Amino acid sequence: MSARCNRGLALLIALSLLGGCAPSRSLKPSMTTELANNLDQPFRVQVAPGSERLVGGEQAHDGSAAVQSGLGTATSIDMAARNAAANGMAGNGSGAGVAAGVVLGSLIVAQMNQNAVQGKAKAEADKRVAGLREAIAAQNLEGWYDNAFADAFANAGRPSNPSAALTLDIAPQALLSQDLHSVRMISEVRLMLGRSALYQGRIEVHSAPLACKDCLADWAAEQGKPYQAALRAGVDETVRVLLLDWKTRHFASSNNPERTLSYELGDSRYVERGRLVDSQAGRSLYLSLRGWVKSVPVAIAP
Amino acid sequence: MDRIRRALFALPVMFLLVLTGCATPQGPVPLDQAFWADQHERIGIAITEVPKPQALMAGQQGLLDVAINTATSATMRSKVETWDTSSLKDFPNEVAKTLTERGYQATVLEQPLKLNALKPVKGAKLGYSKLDYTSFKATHNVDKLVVFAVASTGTYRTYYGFIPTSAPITQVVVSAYVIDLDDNRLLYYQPFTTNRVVDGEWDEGPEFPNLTNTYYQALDQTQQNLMLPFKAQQISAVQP
Repeated sequence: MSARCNRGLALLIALSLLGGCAPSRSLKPSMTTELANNLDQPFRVQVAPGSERLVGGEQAHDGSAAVQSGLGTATSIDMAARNAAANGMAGNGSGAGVAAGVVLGSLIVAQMNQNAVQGKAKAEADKRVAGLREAIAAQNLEGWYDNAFADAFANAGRPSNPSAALTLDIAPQALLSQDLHSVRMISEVRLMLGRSALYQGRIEVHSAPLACKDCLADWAAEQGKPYQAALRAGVDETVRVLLLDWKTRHFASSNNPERTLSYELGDSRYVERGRLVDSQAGRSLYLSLRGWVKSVPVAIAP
Repeated sequence: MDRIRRALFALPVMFLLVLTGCATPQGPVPLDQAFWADQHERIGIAITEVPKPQALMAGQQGLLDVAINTATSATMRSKVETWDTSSLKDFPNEVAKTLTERGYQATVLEQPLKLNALKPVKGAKLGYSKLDYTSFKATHNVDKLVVFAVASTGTYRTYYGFIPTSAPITQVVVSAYVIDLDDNRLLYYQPFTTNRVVDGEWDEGPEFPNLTNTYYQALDQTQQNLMLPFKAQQISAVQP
């Protein structure tokens, strides 16, 4: 078998093995026609547990490290291939196996290096918020999200009903921005009727930025009251946006074009492609390219 | 003896001739305060043709590898080529507006600047432009010229053969210059390469939403960086 055939076979094997390994982590918004018939039905609110959902850190997305990682991976692959050639293995009938081994190993190294870059970004984000996380953990806020969402739905006229057939699963995650001035609450929501998802969506809410110098200390002051207040506001806004999303059938009547939306919160600048769907009382709602609904405390001009 | 002396004298000259081939590349030049000092001088602002976004492939690849990699990235490539660059094309207008609001006379040169139409400067020294812009003084009635030279926009991905060694990274490469049109002196020079990694999954064809967002973020970050010297220096210029 020629060297090129060996490489082609090795690629096929490697890609087929590794192609199914990467899980998809992105929620795809959806809304069935049955939702309209069930909009007035009671539902039971079920919030995903975990104290880590109360405090997290936004990760940086600098591409320079990833570029260096990719170049470093190429160097590793080059060395592996040269070693294989220097050992004279390619000419003795085991060419296909050696080529497959180099390719498989290379793909694994590339993935490991990528994971390392992402892992480092996550570690830095976690380190940045470690102090606040400890302060919040000390308050023993077990079940905080359950109570907050229950209150928010009750105030919106849709109290949770433990015996309802519909279940509203909410998985919230609070992230402190890189500049430490604001809190972003990301909630993945599913309205389930048995095993069928009548609604699936992701709602992101940015808090108003805190004017602070020592932001971690300011958020953690008075047993974390400012931070808890920001979380509470995030939960209330999430519920408001969710109910609006249902009512408008995912803002179906909005025909604003897709454009680049940019806004500043604290010292951070946010840029995203999306469609503005609502703007009132100093808050703007827009749909991202993925159909996620985002609520930000700035007025974006239509 | 004379011949030997002549040869010895020629040695330093030959040495210098060899060394001129090892010219030091132009490093960044911070914005000269002279740019702000003369408010009566006219400032022209120009941008080169903004290339269409493309998916660049880097790393050790043979011809067959390039063909394979081009084929396997066809869907992403198609999406990348639909990305919009109009905000970069309109950027000179934003710079002109910023300068005008501060009392400077700024005007945008309407046509994209064609660098290959400019004559090179013979023996250009460090701190001076390698291309001759002095004709703009008469043709466009300006005293200083701000130039944004856009090299590339799109994505960048490294490979070893047909093995991708990184996920695609969005990239915008632009160099910014401010040139004194009296003598081509560089009042400012800064190359910018903005790389951004995708937040979350990138390989979600055919729309690639995360990759698309990351591109526009890279574009915005580039524009913010390009604008910074024209805003920051204004603050320092007015402070006593």
